Amino acid sequence: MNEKFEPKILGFFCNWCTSAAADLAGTSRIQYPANIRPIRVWCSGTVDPAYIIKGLLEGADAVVIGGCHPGDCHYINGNYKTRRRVKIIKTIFKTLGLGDERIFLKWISASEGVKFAKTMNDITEEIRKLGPNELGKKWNV
Amino acid sequence: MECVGGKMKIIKKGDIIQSARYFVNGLFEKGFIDGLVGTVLYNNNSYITFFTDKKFVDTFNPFFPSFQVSTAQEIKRITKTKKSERKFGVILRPCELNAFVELVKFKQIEKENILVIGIDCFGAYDNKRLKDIKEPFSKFIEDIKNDNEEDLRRTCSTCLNPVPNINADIVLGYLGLDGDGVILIPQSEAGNEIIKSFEGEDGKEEKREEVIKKIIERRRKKWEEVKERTIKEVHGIDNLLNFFKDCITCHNCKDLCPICFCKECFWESPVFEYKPENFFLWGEKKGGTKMPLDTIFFHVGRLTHMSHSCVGCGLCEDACPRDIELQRLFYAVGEKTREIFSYQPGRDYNEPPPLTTFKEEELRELG
Repeated sequence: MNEKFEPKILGFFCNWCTSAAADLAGTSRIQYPANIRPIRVWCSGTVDPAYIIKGLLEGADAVVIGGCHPGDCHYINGNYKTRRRVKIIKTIFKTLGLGDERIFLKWISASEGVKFAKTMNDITEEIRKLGPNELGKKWNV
Repeated sequence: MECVGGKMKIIKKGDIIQSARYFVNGLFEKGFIDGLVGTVLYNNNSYITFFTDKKFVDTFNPFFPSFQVSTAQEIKRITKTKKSERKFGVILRPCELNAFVELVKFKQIEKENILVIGIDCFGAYDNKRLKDIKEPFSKFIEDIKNDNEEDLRRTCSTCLNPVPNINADIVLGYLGLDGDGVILIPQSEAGNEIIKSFEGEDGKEEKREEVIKKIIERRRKKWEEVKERTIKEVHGIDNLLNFFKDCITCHNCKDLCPICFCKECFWESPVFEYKPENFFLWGEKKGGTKMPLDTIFFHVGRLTHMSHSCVGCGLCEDACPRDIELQRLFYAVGEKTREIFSYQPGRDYNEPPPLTTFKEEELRELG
């Protein structure tokens, strides 16, 4: 849509899986877009919906939450709780028309460096097509 | 109505208030309770009161059409630190009963030794209008007879719960009795035993059911219309900003919400103590920032916290100094978040709130 538009994407990645996958992608020299701003959290279950809302209201073009595959959570069931929270916030964003399509939840394990890079590429492309987040320009939110 | 195989009973000791007082007096005299949380009148104003002295029964009026705070929230203050060793009763409107159940589930109320008495509720008058009504209670009885909902709170006029859910011990009802006495309906074994100890006529369901059905049908139409209008009205950031244009972020809505129970509330936390640099950063990014800050953040954030447990009582909008009709937004959005988990606040003491539990096989579309 816009050649110059480089989305800013906020990533909350769990320490044990998705962050390790990001490391693996890096050490394996697999490229992924610099559009991702990764933040390492202990568990995707620690991602308060407030982080997601604030991120998008401040103008992040997307928020990606990355965790361990279902059943693999290092805190037993944190990611199942994440999934419920993400569903709730996506539902609210959809109902209010605030852009639920900018919220992503991805399960990427520590060994999936390739998947990590591909996922981040795909998301970046998707958001590039979608265009900038209009909330980013709103001084009055 | 739901019964536990027990019999309903009609008490006719004068009008509905005299009959209700007779019942409550009986509860004290027969030793079923040592205290009661209910509404009493003083100089024609109503107060939720915890009382142990039977003299309060003379001014007791559980059906008085005024709604200031949720009784459920007040009960929380009684059993917050430990369960009561002495038995006390609580009088709860249907929406308060639903909030009560939610608070029990959130471990904010210790239910043991509490006798839960749910009441029928045709609604309460708008606080601002209540002041101008001379004889509110007599008018209320007339309004019930004539199906007149004009002076009710906006929220009450779209309320689909005029009768308590199945989680009381006893329902103290008046619908379908034409202002003549009260009906007692058992909803637990304990409630059944208590009702048995009172003299009265056997209750009949037909007329009551009919009246309730009529109220709900009428209001459902209205609520569906309000819901649809609201969702359209707030769709998109500019519309949402418009809806909240008068919000001063005072947090009154949150303070009065019976569901918001967190001791340390995120919205009152040091997270919101910004530094000058933050403001200049907003300046660089967006040219500037509206103040007070974080209005949309607060309301959308609160929706993620509690909308699935929202009982629709409307105290948020009563508390709003700027008359923002919050209930219709919160309850309408709440319907969407409740739908995800087929959750219904106040339905069952044993049904865990959505954010406290999970299923392995669900929401697979998210991953």
